Amino acid sequence: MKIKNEKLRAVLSMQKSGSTVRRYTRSKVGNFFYCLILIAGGLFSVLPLIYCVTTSFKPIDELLKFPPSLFWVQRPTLQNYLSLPNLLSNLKIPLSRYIFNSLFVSIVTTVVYVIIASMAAFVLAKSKLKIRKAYFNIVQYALLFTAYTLAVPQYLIFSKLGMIDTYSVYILPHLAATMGVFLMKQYMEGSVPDSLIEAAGIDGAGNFRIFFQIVFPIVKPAWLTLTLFTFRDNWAAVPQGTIFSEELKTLPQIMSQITAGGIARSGSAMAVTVIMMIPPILVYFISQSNVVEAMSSAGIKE
Amino acid sequence: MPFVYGNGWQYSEFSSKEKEPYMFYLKKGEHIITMSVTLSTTAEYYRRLEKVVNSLGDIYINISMITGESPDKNRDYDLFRQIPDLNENLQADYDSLVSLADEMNKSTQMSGSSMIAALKSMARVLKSMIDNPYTAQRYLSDYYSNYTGVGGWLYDMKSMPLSLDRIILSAPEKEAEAVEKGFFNKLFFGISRFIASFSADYNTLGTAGGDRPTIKIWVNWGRDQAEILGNMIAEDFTPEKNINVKLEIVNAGIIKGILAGNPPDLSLHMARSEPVNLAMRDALYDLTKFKDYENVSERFSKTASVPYEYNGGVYALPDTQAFYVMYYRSDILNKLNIKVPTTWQEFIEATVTLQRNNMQVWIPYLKITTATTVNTGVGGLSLFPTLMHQNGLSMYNNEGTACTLSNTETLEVFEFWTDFYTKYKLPKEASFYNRFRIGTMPLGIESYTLYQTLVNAAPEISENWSIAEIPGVEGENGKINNAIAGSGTGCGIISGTGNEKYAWEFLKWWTDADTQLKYSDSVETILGTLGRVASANIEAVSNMSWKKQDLNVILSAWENVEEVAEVPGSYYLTRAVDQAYWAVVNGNSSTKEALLTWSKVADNEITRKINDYSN
Amino acid sequence: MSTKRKSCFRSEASFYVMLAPFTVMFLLFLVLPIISSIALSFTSYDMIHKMEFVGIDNYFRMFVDDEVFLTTVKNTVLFSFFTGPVGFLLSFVLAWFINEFKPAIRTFLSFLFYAPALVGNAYYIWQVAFSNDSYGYINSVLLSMNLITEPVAWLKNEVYVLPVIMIVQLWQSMGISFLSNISGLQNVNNELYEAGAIDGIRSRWQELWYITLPAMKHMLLFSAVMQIQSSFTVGSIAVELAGYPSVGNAADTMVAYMSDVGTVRYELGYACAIAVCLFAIMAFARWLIGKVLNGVGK
Repeated sequence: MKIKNEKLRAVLSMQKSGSTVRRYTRSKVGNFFYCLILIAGGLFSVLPLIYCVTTSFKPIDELLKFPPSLFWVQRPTLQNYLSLPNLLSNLKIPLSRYIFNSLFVSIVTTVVYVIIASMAAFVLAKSKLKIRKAYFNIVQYALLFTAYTLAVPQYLIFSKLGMIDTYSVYILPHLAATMGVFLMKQYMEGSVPDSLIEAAGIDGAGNFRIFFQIVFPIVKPAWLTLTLFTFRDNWAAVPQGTIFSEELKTLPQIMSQITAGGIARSGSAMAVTVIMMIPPILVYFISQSNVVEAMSSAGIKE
Repeated sequence: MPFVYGNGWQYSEFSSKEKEPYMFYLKKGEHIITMSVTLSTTAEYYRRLEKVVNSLGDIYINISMITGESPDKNRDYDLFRQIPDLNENLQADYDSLVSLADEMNKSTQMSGSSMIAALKSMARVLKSMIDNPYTAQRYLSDYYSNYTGVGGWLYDMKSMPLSLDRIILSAPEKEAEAVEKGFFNKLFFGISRFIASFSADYNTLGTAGGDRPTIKIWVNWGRDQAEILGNMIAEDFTPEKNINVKLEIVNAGIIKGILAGNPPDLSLHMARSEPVNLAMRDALYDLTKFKDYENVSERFSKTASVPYEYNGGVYALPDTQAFYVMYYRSDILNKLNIKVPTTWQEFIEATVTLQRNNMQVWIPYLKITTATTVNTGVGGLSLFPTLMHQNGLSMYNNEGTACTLSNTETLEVFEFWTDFYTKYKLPKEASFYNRFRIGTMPLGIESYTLYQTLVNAAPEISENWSIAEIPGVEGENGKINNAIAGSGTGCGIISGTGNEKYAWEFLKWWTDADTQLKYSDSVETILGTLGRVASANIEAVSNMSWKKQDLNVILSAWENVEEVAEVPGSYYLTRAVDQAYWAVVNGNSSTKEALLTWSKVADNEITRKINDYSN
Repeated sequence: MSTKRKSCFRSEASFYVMLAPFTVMFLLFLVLPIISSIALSFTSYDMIHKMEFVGIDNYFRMFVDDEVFLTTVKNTVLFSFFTGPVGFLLSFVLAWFINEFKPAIRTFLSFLFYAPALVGNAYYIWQVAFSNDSYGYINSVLLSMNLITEPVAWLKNEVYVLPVIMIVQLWQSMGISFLSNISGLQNVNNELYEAGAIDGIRSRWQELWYITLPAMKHMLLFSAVMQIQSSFTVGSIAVELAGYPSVGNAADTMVAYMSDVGTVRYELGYACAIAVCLFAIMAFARWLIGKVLNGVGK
């Protein structure tokens, strides 16, 4: 056992060190130039974000102005943010419960999904099961079916299973998403060499062990990305007609209840939007900055 | 007693400068405490600023009448010669602003506030215009943005919301209580609330318990409105009628509820075409089956229940109702000697005059997205149905089996309507609120609900505008027909739940004048007058706080409302009108072609739906 | 030998165990509804009562009796033909450019491009930009430059509306394909580059075509399929910007039409038939893409 571990460790550490190959990278000047262009393009792309942030600081008569000013607020006010606690303190259910609901649901779904999707992907990518190909095709093509018409059958299924008005209606349906399995499988196919797995298998490791100790660390960039997506999707998800009890509602629902207060609440609505954006942005930075610590594939000769 | 601005709870008491609290001697018996609000030292600033803002507004309108909204930067408009006394007025305003800013700076209450910066900024713009008479028009947009900034401050000065928690009368020896609980206290309270939320039984909104029948209501409202309704139910409805109500905020349609076998008993604020859509699928209960239906229907305007009728039954009570009125800037119309139009001829003449002065006029047009199509019904989307009714025509034939788009009389009205856009070049899309406020669109027709927006969010023109009934078609005997097609929502009872009797009690209570008034007032208390509800109950609306002459306009316009019926497939009519409109306005086809093509499409759908459901 | 066979056997069971959780969810919440949808497409169902079996009536109606449907098919295909490949290329090219920077800059730049996806429903800005109003951003710029004399109704003009929506869609489309390309590029084996350099690769473009792309083949397939999925199912962008129905139905996509049929007209059976049709088109596109990608790097 010890030998196996050492060998694997050596292999893994070889990956980490990175190689010293000379690639045709850009000159420093070229880099700088490209950076500028990309930032310019990116600024256009990030306009909606900037708009949300500046709007959240506008007082009501500036909110109604058309065309809305993108970057400049005449009389910036914190009132939209400061009035939120007042708006929210009237809730019979404490705000902390809503935050808890949102976090609980998003985190549980994300963690569970990443694990089961990666496991399934591992089987599809690296095992020799005969049903692999058919299974994967079904998954792939299921991805292509538009979700709109599925809403009604799904609602009936929820109803029959007694999931309505419980936490499971937040979590379970999202565990059926096919995108994650697809992503992980493709990534594993591309980045995890079969020889590595065979080597581990010869040394006596069971499949679970191979998966958790070897494959999962290698595909870190992919599951970090997947975490980001799953979290973002679930954080903002609003169940349609499946949740009635107030104490099970999540933050986006409460926030949208506030914004539905009409024109008088449009400033607070923007403030709410900005606050709701923050967790996904945080998750984004955490996950993406770890993506860059990728390990290159093993140096085992094919 | 001064209340200083701040977001946390404060504690103030009547005391002398040395913090020695004043004593009040209260003889035995009943006493009354009253409180009235004054602006104290800021009152004078407010008055002066108001004068300046009015003058600035005037100047802006004068200038934009010559240059239009986007002046050509390279042209010499010769403003200082064309507008009398421009130089003196600008100078006077500049001086006022500068002195106001200086005095405010010295006063302790206002120093350092960003209002002073806004005043100084406006003064700067004025100075640039005075110093550069030949290119003054370049500063017009700066002028405008600073002007609205200063005007906005004016509004803020007047509205300082105050929340009073308690008034304490205590004996001289007692110590003042601590104002806020300590941090740990709050933390502990927060945690225990959180834990309790898992075990507590939350019938959060509405009432429960006792041996009473329960009805369930779904609303898709904002939190504030739903809580208000919940409170009203607990205070008024349940005690009086002995029926429990379970109120749930749900963002799904009734269909989902019916699908799962778990529908609500009532639905409030249903979009205009929803009742008929549901009724034809046997999902709503015919309200005429109740004996007192006739009495209840008298609370609303004559034709208010027309959109909710289907096959001889009525399936919803009008919940809210809105209609068009005409808004006009009295200062601008007076300046140009335009009288407020009462017929379409006069309206067109006014338009021409205004356009000659670089201004525009607005007639309503609401862009269609899927939701709007179904929601508002064709009456609230554009002027066309209103014009039809004014000419004595109807949108559907008598049996409600086809639309009238392909008739020749319709063609004339349609042409009259699209002429506004093609011949007179009225804008197809604009923010009327903004332009009305600026003054470049001093005349326009919009829903009467815009009134509150203008009152609240356009404080600097508060004295300079008013409303009137929309123009009408002059008949042969000189009588003017100013019918209006309206829009609104309805409330109805879901059929098949067995609770129809109780649901009807609720509906009666809900559409009652007192209830509607109380609801609207409560919403306004929380959201400000912008939250005012356009109730369908005429008595309720008359008792809300309006300026007297404006209320009269609204009430007399209301008498003229003729609602458009809803038939199966009505959404296709709304779309057909819209598509025909764009086809003509974009220059792609003649009015006749457009109407013929699209009326066929609408008729097809109507026929299909009627066939599908005629059983 | 016996150990290997035993481990093979053991591993089979554990593979199935690994596959199980996902399979259960997948079957229950995705496959079952899809099958029901397909079944529903052969019925006429208005969700309140009466589910009637009508055979292939719906399909018949789609192709023979419904002009709007055919227009939406045309629009959807046009739309995807343009935004699919362009979006795909864009997300790869951008990821490739960004890949070469230092990690900190990389995260920052990718955030800039990914931001629209984080903000969610951010169409308001585009509505203002392309608004008919003479104050809309684009109109006011063009007016002040005297390129036009009257505001152009970008979103209400049959000719302009579809291209405008295509542009907005591209702008907003940097989503998962973009990020997955970034992570894929990170993991390309450096040794391959070494080998390439030895073998005589002279320029970055050769490096791209002969080494990077083939190594990225799997991720490219993922990215392509996601692009197909998102470009064919464009619905809310079109509805938010151009309204539904759009002028002359010029910007109506199949998804928008489907939601209208299902929600506004209460014809769920017909909506399901449209969904099946859309699915068929997408499946065909997917098959096509597979063939193309196989030819990369050769």
